[in-house]
Amino acid sequence: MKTFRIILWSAVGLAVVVVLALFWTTSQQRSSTAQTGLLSNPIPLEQPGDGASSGNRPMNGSPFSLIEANGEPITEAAFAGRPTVLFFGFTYCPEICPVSLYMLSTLIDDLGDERGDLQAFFISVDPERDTPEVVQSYISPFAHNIRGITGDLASIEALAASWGIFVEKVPLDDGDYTVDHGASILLLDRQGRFRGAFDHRDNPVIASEKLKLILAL
Amino acid sequence: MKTNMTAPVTGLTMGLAMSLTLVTAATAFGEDMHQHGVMISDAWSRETTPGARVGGGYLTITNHGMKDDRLVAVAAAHAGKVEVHTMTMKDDVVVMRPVENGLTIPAGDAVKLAPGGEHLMFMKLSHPHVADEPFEATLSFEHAGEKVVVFDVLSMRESMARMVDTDDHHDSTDHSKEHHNQ
Repeated sequence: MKTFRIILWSAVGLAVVVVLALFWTTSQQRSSTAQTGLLSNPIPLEQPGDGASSGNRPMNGSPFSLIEANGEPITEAAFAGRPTVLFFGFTYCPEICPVSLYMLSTLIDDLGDERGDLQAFFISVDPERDTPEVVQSYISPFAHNIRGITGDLASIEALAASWGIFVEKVPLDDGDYTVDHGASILLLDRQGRFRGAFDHRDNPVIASEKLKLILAL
Repeated sequence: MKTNMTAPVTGLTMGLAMSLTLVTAATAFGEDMHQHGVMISDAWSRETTPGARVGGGYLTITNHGMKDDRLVAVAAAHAGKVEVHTMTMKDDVVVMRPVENGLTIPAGDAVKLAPGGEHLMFMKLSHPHVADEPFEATLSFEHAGEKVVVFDVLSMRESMARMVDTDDHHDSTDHSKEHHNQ
């Protein structure tokens, strides 16, 4: 019986230590969130039934070193301090990419003065064909709202993967290729953290509300 | 050299003449008898941005014939290559693939190529699709022969309205999908 009691109390003691450790960790996370004045829920903008699934999307993307469509180098530093919208696509995309860019640009136009310092980027998942010049030309109707990014394939694949965006170059029978890619439009807060997503299938009214929410964060 | 040059030209002329005959024949049958050939309706594309390498084309193909037909080739003067593509969304991932061995148009049925699904992919564009500037494409069918189709080009705004319109008619789109996915 004595041995049993010792084991029992040791187990209770261990459980208390574990609970205290968990509590301490959680409260540390809460206070760091509170200091930056952000909501504790990492994905506050998602609505049930959204086309753009964001279930397991990482909160932070990886650092990167790429080329902006205007020829200038660009890094993750460009995302800091401003609410940022990211969309991955390519110029061999006849429907989803132009429609998504048009939708995004129109939503930003419609924000009017509420637009604030919101910025948006189109990142090519086909940098081998999409040179900076090609990307710049492709986004030219939306250039007042959306900037282009391209670079080397490995870096772009790493960046896309870090945001949970699927990218896969698929060879076709005729020697050509296509690129399967995630079509979610990602919304980042001023700290460059993922806060929500929508895509071209979503109701523009809901998408617009989501844009306003990252502006308000 | 001269014979080498004239032979293709003659061939081309004959080909053109034959195509025209086929087109006329198909149209006449389609309109007058509704028993043979395929009918094309609602052919449109959306404007492309200057840097776009490709443009999408949409249309409805109705087969009034007694046997299945296949769309085997598409050609357009401004496009180096035209393919029929499927487009599906797997979760949030866009998956686009060429349709191999032609697009089947079942007898007595219609196949609708519409946003969110199958489309014609106009590639290697020599000039962009400009709103309100229609273009022609020649569709070649296994049985119905060649048909010249005029595609209206819609502005982005108009095309968005058309997409919403398409969403409202899921039934007909799904119906057409059932057939050529077999």
